[in-house]
Amino acid sequence: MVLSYYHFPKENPELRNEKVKERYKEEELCELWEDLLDDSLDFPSREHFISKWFGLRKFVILSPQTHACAIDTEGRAKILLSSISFALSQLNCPLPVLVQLDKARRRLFSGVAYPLSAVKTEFETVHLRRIPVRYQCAEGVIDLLKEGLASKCECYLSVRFTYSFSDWPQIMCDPLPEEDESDDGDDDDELSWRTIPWGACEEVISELHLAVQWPSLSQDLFVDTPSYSDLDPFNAPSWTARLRYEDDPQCLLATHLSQFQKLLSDSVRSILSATENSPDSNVTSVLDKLTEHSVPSIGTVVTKAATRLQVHAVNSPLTERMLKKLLAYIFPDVANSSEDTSEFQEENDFERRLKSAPPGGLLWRLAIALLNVNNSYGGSMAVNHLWHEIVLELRYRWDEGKVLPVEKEKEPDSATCLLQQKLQMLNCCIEHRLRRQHVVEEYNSPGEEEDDDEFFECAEESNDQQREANMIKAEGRLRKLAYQLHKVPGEYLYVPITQEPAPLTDDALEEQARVLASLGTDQTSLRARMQSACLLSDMQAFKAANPGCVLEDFVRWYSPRDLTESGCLSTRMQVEGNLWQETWNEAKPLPVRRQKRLFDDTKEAEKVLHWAASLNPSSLAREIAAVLLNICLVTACTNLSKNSLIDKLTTKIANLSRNTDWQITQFEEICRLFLSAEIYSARKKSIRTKLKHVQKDVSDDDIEKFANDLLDNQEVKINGAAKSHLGELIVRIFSAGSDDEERDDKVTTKLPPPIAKEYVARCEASKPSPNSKVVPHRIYALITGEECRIASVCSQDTAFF
Amino acid sequence: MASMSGTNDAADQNFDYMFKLLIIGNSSVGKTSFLFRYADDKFTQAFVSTVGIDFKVKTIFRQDKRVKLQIWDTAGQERYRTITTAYYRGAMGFLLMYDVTNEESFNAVQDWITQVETHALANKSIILVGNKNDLNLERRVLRRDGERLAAELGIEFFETSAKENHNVKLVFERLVDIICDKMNESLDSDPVIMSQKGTHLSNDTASGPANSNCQC
Repeated sequence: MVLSYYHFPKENPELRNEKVKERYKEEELCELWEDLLDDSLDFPSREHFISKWFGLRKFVILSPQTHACAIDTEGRAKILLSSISFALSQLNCPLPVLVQLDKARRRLFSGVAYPLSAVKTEFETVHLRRIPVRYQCAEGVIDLLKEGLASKCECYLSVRFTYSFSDWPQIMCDPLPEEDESDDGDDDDELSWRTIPWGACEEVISELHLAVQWPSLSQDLFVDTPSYSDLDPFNAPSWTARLRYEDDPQCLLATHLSQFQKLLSDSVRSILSATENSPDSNVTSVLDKLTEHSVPSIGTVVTKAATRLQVHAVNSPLTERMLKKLLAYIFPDVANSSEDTSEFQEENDFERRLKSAPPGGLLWRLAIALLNVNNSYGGSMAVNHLWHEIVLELRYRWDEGKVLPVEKEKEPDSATCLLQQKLQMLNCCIEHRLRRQHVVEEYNSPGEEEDDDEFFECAEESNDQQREANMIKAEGRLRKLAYQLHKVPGEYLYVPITQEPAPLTDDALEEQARVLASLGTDQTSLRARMQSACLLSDMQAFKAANPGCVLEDFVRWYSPRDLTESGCLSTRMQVEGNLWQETWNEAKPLPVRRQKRLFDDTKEAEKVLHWAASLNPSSLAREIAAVLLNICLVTACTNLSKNSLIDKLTTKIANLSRNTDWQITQFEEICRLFLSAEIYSARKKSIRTKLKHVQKDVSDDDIEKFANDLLDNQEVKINGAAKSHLGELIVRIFSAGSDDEERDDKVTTKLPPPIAKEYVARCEASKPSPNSKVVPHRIYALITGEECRIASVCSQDTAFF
Repeated sequence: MASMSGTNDAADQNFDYMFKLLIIGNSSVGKTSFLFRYADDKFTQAFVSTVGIDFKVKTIFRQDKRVKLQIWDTAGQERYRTITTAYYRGAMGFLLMYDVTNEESFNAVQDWITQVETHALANKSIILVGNKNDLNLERRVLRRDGERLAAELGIEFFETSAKENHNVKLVFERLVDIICDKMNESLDSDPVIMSQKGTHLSNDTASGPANSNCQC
């Protein structure tokens, strides 16, 4: 059994019911009385149902934990209640305790309280399919309340009728996005796979509820019997509206993302099983299938790269035509079309927070294509095929020296995701090699005049005859400094052309740091030596550019603070056998052109290509997930104005994108948030369409406000009830479904029969005998087509009976 | 943020957090000496000018936690900027150091800050350190100039001397505290980590059943 205590504090605790205070003496007033007589607790919109049934603010519920221990016999219920009754009276505890009886879904409760000394209050619920007609109206409910009361009294009644509208005519619904179900994958509807899908696949608003309410009517002021009622909803003082929504509507992005999530959690297994299912497969071909793309043999690479767009994989769900279109979309420079990528050009502040890829860039297009290909064009097999083609395209680009349409001339940017960095790296390699080849070509072409590039100042190999006694011709000068050489007065110091250190992707940097750290803390000099390649290269270039130079000259350029004012080396540079001196002694005068390359573009490019080729659909999905979520976020932002959901999404996606070991559950959580965002945006769109259809006298601003109120609140009070513009608007919605629609100009003053009638009746009377104390009694009744529920609170004097 | 995995170097694998810190600043402001003073409690004027990047490890006890510090020492020369800035992203804290006897190194502070803002993560912490404050006769940068600059940058400031072991330990401990505080803050503000403890009273429970209003 579970014991739960509930307390719904009053919004204004100061505001005590003055009337109640007047009527009761201080010692006879208790919290329970105040709550029972408080008509603001009639039909609350968001409190616990117990609160609503019994008019309670503070109570304890005792409920069975499992189905098995339900209190299903009257005997057990009685024992339990009398024990509680005994306990409460002994403890002088004024708190009502309610016990859940029978099966949980019937929501039957019985309870007891001792609010004052010698007063016992009993709580009862009745749940029936049907009750006699005479109890289905105010009169009947009052009769029930008065049963067993000893004194005459006046009853007060609050009434609420609920009307529902659900038969939305077609014209009031949004046209639903069609799900792209291309069976042959040969779809001309290109937009369907070039965009991020968004929106619900079905109507998201099921019902509009209108509740009309009369608060605390004296029983003498109206008549409500089975045969006649003068409770006219159009005269009710209070109207409230609320929306009911479809449960779990299907949404496009959410569906696509959950498919993508399957791809993420997919492993090699799925490819295996897919091929295994085809009848003519054997084990070796399965393995071929797996290994084919990850370790391409030279033969396949060469031929495939040559015919890279014509290749047609066996058993691929992607048709050749579709594949061509996809590749032309991802690599727009191939098709030579002026591809419009302005779609995502908008600047937003996500870029700094997410580790993703540049908006509208190659990876964005790839992510969009992968999402759609995975969802609609053949799942992980198709993704695998597409990626295989892309890797071939990458290799072709490298072989042919054609730069990729990613941000040019940029080193791997650690603010972007690893995949983007790898592509940037490949571009660096391509450009580096092109530059290198260009230099070699120019250098080798004879007869060509030296151009102004100082790099080629020494066109001829150093020739012994040209050498002066101890002067070598300077090579590879970049610019002159305003200092003269230490040992050669009159000669100026030149900054040499230097090699740039190799660019690094995140994983390479991590590896480098790991290697350096793994040496241990004492290996400072070894670490320095490992990193001295760049220093050596610079020293060599410097020597070549400044014949006759000494270490002092180098330090003047490289580390000026290590030169004292008198031009001597600093103490630390003079330490015997330090790395700087050692390297200086080692360095031969060599311009960068003849040095060992610090950046081996061939090796690095092969590394990138190998890495890319070894990605299977699942690992590819993982690498591109952050980019995809970034695009989805931008899409969500264009469909939803900034709200807390977007903020939450941004944070979650930022966390995922920055964490290389993110979990599938993180992705799942983000998908759920996207679903909520999608549903919210669909609801908003839907209610707007519906309201606009019956707009008439209401301004656009009011429609907008009303739509937002309905979405963000449980219930919206209609100020002015039936007489207001909004009230008329609601009536027009209700009449929109009926045949009277033609008579649109005349507002139909008709509502369908209510789907639910609720009554709260209360009175103050003595019980069980006329001499007993006068105490409050309250009854709540709900009557719908399917069920009737009555909840009563009855108190009696236990001293005078 | 806090990595629980250790590197192979340290014999001591027993720690709660590992923080990566980076010491940056112009060449010969005393970064290596400062680190040696802290990690090994030694001082010499003749440390070889750092080539590329080097590191030391120290485990300390702060805020009831064993914190292992992996402190990376960087070369200050302009030429090493690209190499060293690559390491910024992995660091949680920065000691930005200048030399109180060298105005140029002080003037470069803004530049270093820009480098950090460009390359490091958004939630990193920085402390400004004016080193060599034992050389009072050669001082070129006043303490209040350092203080003012730090205030402008919104970071904390200390003057130190690696030679006389003044404030060295304090600076590191302060930086660790700042990082710890930041970490606790971000834990607190994450609703997932804040478990819903205690009794299920009041409004928490109200929303659930109320959804199925009206027909009940």
